[in-house]
Amino acid sequence: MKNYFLDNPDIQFHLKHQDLDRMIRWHEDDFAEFPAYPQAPENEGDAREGYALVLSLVGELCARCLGPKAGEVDQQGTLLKDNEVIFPAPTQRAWELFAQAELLGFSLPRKYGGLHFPATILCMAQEMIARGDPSFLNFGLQQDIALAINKFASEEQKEDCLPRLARGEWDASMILTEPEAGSDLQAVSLRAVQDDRGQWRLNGVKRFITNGCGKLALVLARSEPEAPGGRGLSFFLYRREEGMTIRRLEHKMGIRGTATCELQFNQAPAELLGERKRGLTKYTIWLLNCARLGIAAQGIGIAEAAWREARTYAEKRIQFGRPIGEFPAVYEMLARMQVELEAGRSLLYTASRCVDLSEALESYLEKHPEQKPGLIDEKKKYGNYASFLTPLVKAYASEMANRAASAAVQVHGGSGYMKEFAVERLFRDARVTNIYEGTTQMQVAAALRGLLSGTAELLLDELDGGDYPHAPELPPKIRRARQIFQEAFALAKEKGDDRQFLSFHARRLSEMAGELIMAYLLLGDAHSGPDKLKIASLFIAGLEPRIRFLAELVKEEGEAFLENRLF
Amino acid sequence: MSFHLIVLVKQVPDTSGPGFTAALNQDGTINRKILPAVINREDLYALEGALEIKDRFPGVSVTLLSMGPPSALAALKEGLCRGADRGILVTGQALAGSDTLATSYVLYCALKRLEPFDLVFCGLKSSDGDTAQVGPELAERLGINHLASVSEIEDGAAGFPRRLTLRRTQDTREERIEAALPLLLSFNDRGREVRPVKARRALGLRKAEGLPGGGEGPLWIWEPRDIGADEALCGAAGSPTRVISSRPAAGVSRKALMIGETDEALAAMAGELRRDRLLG
Repeated sequence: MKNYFLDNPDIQFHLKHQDLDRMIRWHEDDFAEFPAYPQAPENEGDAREGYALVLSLVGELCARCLGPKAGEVDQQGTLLKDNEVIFPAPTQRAWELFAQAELLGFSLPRKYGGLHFPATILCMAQEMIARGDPSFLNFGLQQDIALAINKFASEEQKEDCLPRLARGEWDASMILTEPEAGSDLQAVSLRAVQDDRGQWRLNGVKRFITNGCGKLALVLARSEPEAPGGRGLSFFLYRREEGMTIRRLEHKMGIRGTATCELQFNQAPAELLGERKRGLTKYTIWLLNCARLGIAAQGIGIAEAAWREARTYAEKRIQFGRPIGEFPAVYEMLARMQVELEAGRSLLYTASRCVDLSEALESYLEKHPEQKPGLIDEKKKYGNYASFLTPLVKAYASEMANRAASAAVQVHGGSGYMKEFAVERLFRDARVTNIYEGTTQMQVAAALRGLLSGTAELLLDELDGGDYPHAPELPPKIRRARQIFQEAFALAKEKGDDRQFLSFHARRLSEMAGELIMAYLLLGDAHSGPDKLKIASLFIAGLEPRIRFLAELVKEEGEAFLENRLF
Repeated sequence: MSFHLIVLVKQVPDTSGPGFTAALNQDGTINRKILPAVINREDLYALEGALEIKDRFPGVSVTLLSMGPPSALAALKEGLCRGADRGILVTGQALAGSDTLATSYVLYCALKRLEPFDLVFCGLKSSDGDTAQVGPELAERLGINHLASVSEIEDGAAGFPRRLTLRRTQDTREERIEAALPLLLSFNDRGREVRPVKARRALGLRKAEGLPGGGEGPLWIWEPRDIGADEALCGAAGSPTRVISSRPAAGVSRKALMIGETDEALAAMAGELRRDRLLG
């Protein structure tokens, strides 16, 4: 039986080799739920075994109900009828199977019927799902929304919503974007007003809402008309019953198995979630960071699927009497795909581990305040790493997925341009990953803050201090490349942002930092043996030229584009 | 009221996966050691049939029964994770080398110990034995009716626990049959898709071990003496079947028919295959 977990040694590698033990201990509150819950782990090794067990179930479901049906789902797309969305039959069936398999409460606490798995394990599930069908977004969406409710809602709201989300009785959506408020969510204008009885009512239009038909939604709305920008926005819990019309479904380039809705709210009853005025500044930012990690995992999954399709095709397709994969030009595409994919995966699971450490320590220290003196600095450090690495990996993985899907089409030649081959769909599906949940341009702006705050340097110092006896020739190469980056970064900082110099080069600067971090991570992975050492060596072989190229652009091109404006 | 359904399961090597070719020996036999072990595919459809009744009627419990080596506990555990209540493995050296007659004898003895029961479910045949004999033999021993090639229980099992309407599909025909309980039903793989393993249950049972003789846990291990089986009728000693030799018997194509690549030619071919019931 096919299984996307068991057939993927690289995911298994990260489950085994990522340093998860401390995180698991804090996440499980020193294993306090064992044995009250028979499914709770009693130690770190037991937790890892449980993760592997469930990931194997996810891998089997993905291989059985997503991968083989993705083409059919893409062809059918979603339909709107009588204010209800009709999903392609295989998508509906997959949702039922995920619910039957008790996977929809993947991240939720056990007391609400969840599995209480950390973000790292969720990302592993999400990348397998995306490998099967990138349009099956509702699983990840369910987790993000359930987690936000678990973190910020009242106990009464949690008890009402979370068991239903875990059982799959309700599906969910986060309703943020508006026609005039896309990347700039401070411009949100959908109104939330309290009626005479104190009931909040929502009025206005939302757009590009993934699964806007969901039974439960988190809605960003303007509750304080007099307060400008983000400070006037609050978060609302909306149970879909009355007052909301799905005006239309978007006709999309890819991920056609998901419903992207335009919604009209008309006196829709809603409940305030958390505190007023914190809708954007606290809750949406937190929720978007969860979602961004999920999109990074989606990018990795798409790249995995594209690489596998291309590898298989290149082995079977014979031209000039040989499989085309044997020709250097094709081999290069396949090899680069693999190196970039494994680099992205290392970055993803490092980012997710930092998110987990930060979140686990936050809840652990709430329960054990006496431990604060020893752990609060770690909490802060991992929080900073998470804030920096999340946009960085979202940008890298989504751009890499686009490159991989494009290369996979190229390996297929003319066939890849045809609907009969999966790579044509993957190419379209990949295209949204560097747009939604914040474009790459927004991500690099966020990552730039991590560069300017010194977080990136701190992380690079920590990585540089690692022990790499298995490849002593490689760290000096990374250090040389880092020196080149530091010079370019110093110049950019000197120029500042008065004339938008830093913003203009944000992408190049964060790309350089990402490359250096991935070089160290792959070097660390190479502890495990020759296969990973080969990947690290290949990645690092071209590191200095890539960094030098980007640095030269920062230094030499400098302000040219800013000074000589074309329009 | 409480009702008791029994599902017979067999652990077999997974011949559906990508490793199958590598596991094929030159003489056509399978190297079981290099293939993952799974529940026989048709047994899963039988389990699904039992679980659908359990979903609909209160007081129904589902017991899985298997004869096999100790490693077959994993198959029982998987069945529990899909929704069964209890799993019992009948195992022991004396059972090695059983043919269908010896197998049905041992299962019969186990079933007698499990009485009372209302229905017995099994797969039509196992993928590694392919005899389709154990189900009928067992029904004969139990003296109850047997229906083979069942694909679905119809009408929401409305007549349970007295009668059931069943859909039976074979290569060229489909039948709806009403039958009175007690019954032994052997399922083919044309029914409703099998429900997945439940994650929380799988985690909860991850450390469950087989309890010799029985006990509080859901996994039990019985030996021949626990079910009063006469060892002379078990295993190789109780098996009259002798395999003299085996060789691969792969089909050889003797004739190739070329058709044009036009829509009409393809439609004609599809029509012919449908007429011959090879398609659709």
